[in-house]
Amino acid sequence: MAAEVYVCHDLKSPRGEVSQGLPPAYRLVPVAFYLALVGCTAAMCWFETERRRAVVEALAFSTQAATYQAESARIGGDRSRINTLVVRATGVAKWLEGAVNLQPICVAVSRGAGKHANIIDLSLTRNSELPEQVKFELRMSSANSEVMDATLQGIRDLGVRAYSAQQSTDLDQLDYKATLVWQNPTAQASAK
Amino acid sequence: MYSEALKQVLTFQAFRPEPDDPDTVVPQRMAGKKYLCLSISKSRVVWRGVDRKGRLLSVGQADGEFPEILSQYTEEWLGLCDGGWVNVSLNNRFVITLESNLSRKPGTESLLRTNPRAVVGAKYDRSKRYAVYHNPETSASLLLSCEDSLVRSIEDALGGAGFRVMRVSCGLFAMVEDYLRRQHQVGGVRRDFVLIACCEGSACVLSQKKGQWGELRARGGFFSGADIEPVMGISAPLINGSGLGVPIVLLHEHAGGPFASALYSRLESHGAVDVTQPDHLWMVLTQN
Repeated sequence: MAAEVYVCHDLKSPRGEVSQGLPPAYRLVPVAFYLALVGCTAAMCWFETERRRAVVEALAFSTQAATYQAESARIGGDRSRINTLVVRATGVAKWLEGAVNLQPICVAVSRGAGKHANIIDLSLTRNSELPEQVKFELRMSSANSEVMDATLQGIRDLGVRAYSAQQSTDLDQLDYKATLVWQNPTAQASAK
Repeated sequence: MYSEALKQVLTFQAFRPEPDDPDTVVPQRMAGKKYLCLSISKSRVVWRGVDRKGRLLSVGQADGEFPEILSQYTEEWLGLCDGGWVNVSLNNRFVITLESNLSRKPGTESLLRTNPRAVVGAKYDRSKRYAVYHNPETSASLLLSCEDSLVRSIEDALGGAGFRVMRVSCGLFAMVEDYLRRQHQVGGVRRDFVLIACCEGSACVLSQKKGQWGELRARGGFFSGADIEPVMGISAPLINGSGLGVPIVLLHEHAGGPFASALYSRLESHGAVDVTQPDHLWMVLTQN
């Protein structure tokens, strides 16, 4: 059997303001304080861990951003180069498209020259105000009048007539200048 | 001031009774604190430290007047206690008497400290301090009267040396009260016995017959060493008056001392039983 616990007698001089201690329910105050302390410490540790992780991630992201920016600059350079090529190709395409109705003339000139004459210069200039008229200039060497007639006949076969023709011969070189006009615009369209 | 109060709340000290709260048992007052126990006799002081877990430490003792011993061992004793708290047991200049029809109203114990005249009545002496233990079965009471000047001088001496008095008690009276309370607890209040309690040169002899406390003799600081004759001198009339076959209960401040052995040898043929526990006095003073 457990010994009885009692309060032993006390002979000391009494002290008036002896405290019995705070009510037990108030223990919640320090308990809550310590719980808050533990919670704050845990939160602080978590925040610090997250902050360090964020710093590492920010560094990785900045590195990645720099890589992407370099890649973007490289792609931008390629794109501008491609755009330049596109512009040039577009010009060529436009030129080709615009020169489609003149190509049969060039072919006719080339066939008319035969294999003995040499074409030194061939110029076909369309008048911007009168697009149905083309200024024709041809310079050939080792060419005679037969060659020139064959060439002009080939052009006429295309439905094109030469006006204001000027022909001159200087030694072995023959110059011919004329204004070409399509007799039938429908034929011009079909020639395209 | 506020920081101290805050510290006490955060360390849960504010929820425990103060170390000098006389209405609380010592383990509750001194939870987590080490303190010093002093047993002060007429020409001898015995001390023992109690650690923060309530365990008794090694014992020390010195012969001489208390003020001289105090000045000599102040540093050592201060190292044995937190905050200078001391549990004092007095062994001289007290009287234990058998009284009857003392007031047993609730709060008598605290009233005995603040207004003893209301409890003791006509026997009140302003130069005394009192403690009482009531027989739960009868109207008899044990009344301890101790010299007020002795208590004050010890309190002043300890206070001057930097100590704080946790409790001042009479070791002999505490041992007798503890034994009688345990007898009541185990249902032996109707048993006949002669109790011989000895503590540091003081002795108390109480005879009980059929639950009634018959006679009591007590003297403080009247013997020393292993000389049992003074104790036998005051015990013999009660032993002889109780008749044959009545057990003699021996109680000492600690078990196995030469005095205890000599007294037991003398009274063994009369059916003496030594109920002393190891460190009996210190256990009574530190557990209650």
